[in-house]
Formats: sequence, C-alpha cells, structure tokens
Amino acid sequence: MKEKHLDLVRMVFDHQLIDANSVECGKVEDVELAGDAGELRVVGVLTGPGAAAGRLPHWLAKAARKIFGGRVTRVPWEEVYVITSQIKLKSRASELALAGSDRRAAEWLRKLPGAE
Amino acid sequence: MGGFVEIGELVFSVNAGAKFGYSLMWVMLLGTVGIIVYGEMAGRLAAVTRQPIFDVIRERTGFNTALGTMLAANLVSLLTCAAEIGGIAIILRLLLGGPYRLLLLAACLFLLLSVWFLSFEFIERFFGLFGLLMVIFIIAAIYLHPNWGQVATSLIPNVPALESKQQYYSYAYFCVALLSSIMLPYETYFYASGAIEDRWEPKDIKMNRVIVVIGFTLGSLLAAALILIGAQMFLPVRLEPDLPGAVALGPAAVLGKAGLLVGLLGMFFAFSGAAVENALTGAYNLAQFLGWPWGKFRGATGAPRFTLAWIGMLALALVIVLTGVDPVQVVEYSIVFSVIILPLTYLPLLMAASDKDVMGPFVNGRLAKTLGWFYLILICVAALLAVPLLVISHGGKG
Repeated sequence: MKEKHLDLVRMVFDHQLIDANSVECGKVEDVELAGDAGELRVVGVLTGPGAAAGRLPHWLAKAARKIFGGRVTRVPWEEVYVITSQIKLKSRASELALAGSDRRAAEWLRKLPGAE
Repeated sequence: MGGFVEIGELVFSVNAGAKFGYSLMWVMLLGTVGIIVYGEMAGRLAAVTRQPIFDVIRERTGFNTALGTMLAANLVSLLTCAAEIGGIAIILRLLLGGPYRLLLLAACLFLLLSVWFLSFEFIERFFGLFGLLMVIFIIAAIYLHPNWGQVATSLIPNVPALESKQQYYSYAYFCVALLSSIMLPYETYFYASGAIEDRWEPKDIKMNRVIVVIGFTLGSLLAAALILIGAQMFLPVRLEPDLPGAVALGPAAVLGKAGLLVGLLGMFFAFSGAAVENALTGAYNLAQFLGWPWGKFRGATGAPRFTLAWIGMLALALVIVLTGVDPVQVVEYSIVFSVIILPLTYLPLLMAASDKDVMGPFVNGRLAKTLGWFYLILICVAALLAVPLLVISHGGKG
C-alpha cells in the first residue's frame, strides 16, 4: 500500500483488520513509524491486547496487561492491501500470527455436537 | 424478534397505568418515534456500509470512550438478560409449578440450546411468531373499555394534577424510565447487527423503513395496551403489580382461562426473545469492538470467540438471578442506567449517518437529521435526570 499522505487518525486507527479471506482479525491499536521528524513513514500496524492496553490510562493499562496478556502483533505495512472502512491484508490471519485465540477456541468448540 | 416487549417495559408500562392512569401515554408515543428514527438510521447504516455500530462508535469517539460505552452497554444487556431469565422462570412457575431455581436453570438451558442449534433467521422467526401471542394484551385492553377520548388527549404531553411533590417526582421518574424502556440501546445494536447477519444491501433500505415502523409500533401498541390494563384494572383498586405474572390478569379477566394461558405463553416467548437478543447483543458489541469474527451466520467455529461470548452472557446472567435477586428490581436499575449510555450510542450513529462520505446518496435527510438532534437532546436531558430522579422518587414508589 503506497499512499503519499495518510490521515492516520481517520483512516487507520481503530479500523477493522480483515485478512485475505475477508475474516476479521483484530483492530489497529497503534502504528509504527520510521524516518526522521521531517518525513515519517508508516512501517507497520500493531494489534493485540498488549497494544490495546497501551491506549488505556496508565493505572488501567497495567491491570489490563496482567489480565489479558501483553501480546502485541505487528503487521508490516507491505501487508496492507487496501484501505476502505476496513483495512484488508494480503495474507491470511494464520500467516501473520493473527487471531490465534480464535483458532484455539474453534478447536475446542468443534468437539461439541452441532458446532459445525 | 419476540422481544417486542421485554420484562422491564412490561413492568414499567403496567405500573405507569396503575399509578397515573392514561396520562403517560404521550411518553410512549414520543419514545416510539424516537426508536423508529434511530432504528431506521442504524439499519440504513448497516445496509449501506455493512459496518456494525461498535465499529462506528469506536472510529468516531476513540478507544477509551468506545470502551466505556461498550462496557456499560454490555452491563446493561447482561442485567436485562438476567431479568428476562428470571421473568421466564416466573412464567414457567405459573404454568408448570416447581422450584424457582430449577426453573431458572431450565430457562437458561432452553435459551442456550435454541441459540446453539437454530440459525439466526429461524431464531428471529420462532420467537417473533410466538411473541405475537402478546397481541392478547391489546385485545384485553380493548375489552376493558377504556375511555378512548381520554386516551387520545393523553397522547399530548401533559402533567396530571397530583397530590404531593413526591408524586410529581415519581411521575417524572416514570417519564424517564418509560422513555428509556422504549429506546433501550440494545435494540439498535441488535437491529443493526441483525441487518448484517441477514446480509442487507442498500436496496433493502425501503424494507428497513417498513420493518422499523411496523416492528417498533407493534411493540409500543403492546406497551400502550399494558398502560391501559394498568389503568383499568389496577388503578381503581390502588394496586401496584410488582410481579410480571400479575399482568396476565388482564387477558384472564376478559377472556378467562384461555386468555390467561395465551398471555403467559406470549410473555414466555417475548421474554425469551429479549433474553436471546441481549445475550447476542453483548457478544456482538464485544466482538465488534475488539475486531473478532462475529455473527450467527458463521456458525460456532467460524466465529468462536463470539460464540463463547454469548454463552458467557447467558451463563453470567444465570449466575446473577441464581443469587436470588428480584428480576424486576434488576431490570428497573438496568433501564435507568441504560438511559445514561443512550447519548453515547446515538451521537456517533447520528454523526455517521449524516456523513456524506460514509453514506453517499443514503445520507440522513433533513427530517432524519432534525428528529435525530431533537431526540439526542431529549435523551441527554433524560440521562442527566435519571439517577437523581431514581433517588428522590425512591424508584418511583413516591
């Protein structure tokens, strides 16, 4: 994804990430920037409970990390395919180490009758 | 779905009639137009953008405000779900007898199995169709021969002459509570998520209008019938019915045993529908806020954390009522607190539906915008007054 200017707050932050199969795989909680002050580039988006906790007030962030874990998953900016009201990625969630909890929960649920 | 009238609206409506006669009918009318305005907006936004409400709330208000709204909304949905399960158990006890706690377990199991095994469309139709049994209350209200002239004049905003200051506080409390019970936020969350479950597209916008007008009007006609039953049956004998089962005395009085049975069955399906809606709403909100796959249409393994979330909602709701708290009291508090989060739900919805970049040709017109702002101001005032009125009117007891 190559855009000359990007309104990060309006177009990227808090937006839904969907993988190549159009399956939801988290929200953009933070972005990673590189370059100097004159010309900053987005090099990745961050998602996961650890990244979300970083947006909470300090006193809550610590507790949230303890309860939900501090995992932060980084998706390289090259993986971003298109930005609309959602951010579509080029690869599948499993290839980007996203939505692991969903896969584990699905395996557990699959054992129950009528789950499929 | 079957939740045309959930237990809170039922209790507040019949008590409003029992305490103040027909005089609160105007609040019913005011609230009905309000929920139609915002329901239509939520359905249209979902059809055009396929974006669920919590996506919109989070994008428009930021992480922390949206998180607060989500937690508060889910707390209200959880309490409402708990109250509905309690209500179902009360109805089952009247129908079948048996220990209350065992019936709570049976009610929860019935809901769990229904949502687990049935598709979204089937759940909608099943509870919606059987919830129509509630129409018996409209028939009963007509048979009780209310003074239709007075009913018509009470549709205009009015304050009746009351005996004491405390009663005026109580009247104001009922105004806020009734308005809140009609405009409960879960209704818009559920409606918009349901529209996405049903794969609505912009061509469905006309159908959306028809559904919100008919659906919410029918719900309010039921609530209006309950006010009339309260006014005709309970006001003359100065009785304030605290138990939902007492409401079925309305159809029983005019249609005998069959009326009682149909009334109780109607309540059973209406409460069940509302419980399912609230359990699913909690899961929708959480999944949409955190960006998980969601939707009944995906099946349990296609949206695993969403599935665990609605199961968790039902389980927690069961734990709440198993403690022995009075479900009616639970729902009273949940309705009053839900009015506080209404502005946080409706403002982002109004902003998104009024944004041409988002909605294109389906953006809010002048009427939707004007009514949207009017109701937003109204619910902000209601939100500010809710807790003080709850305290000074002792929960409307005067």
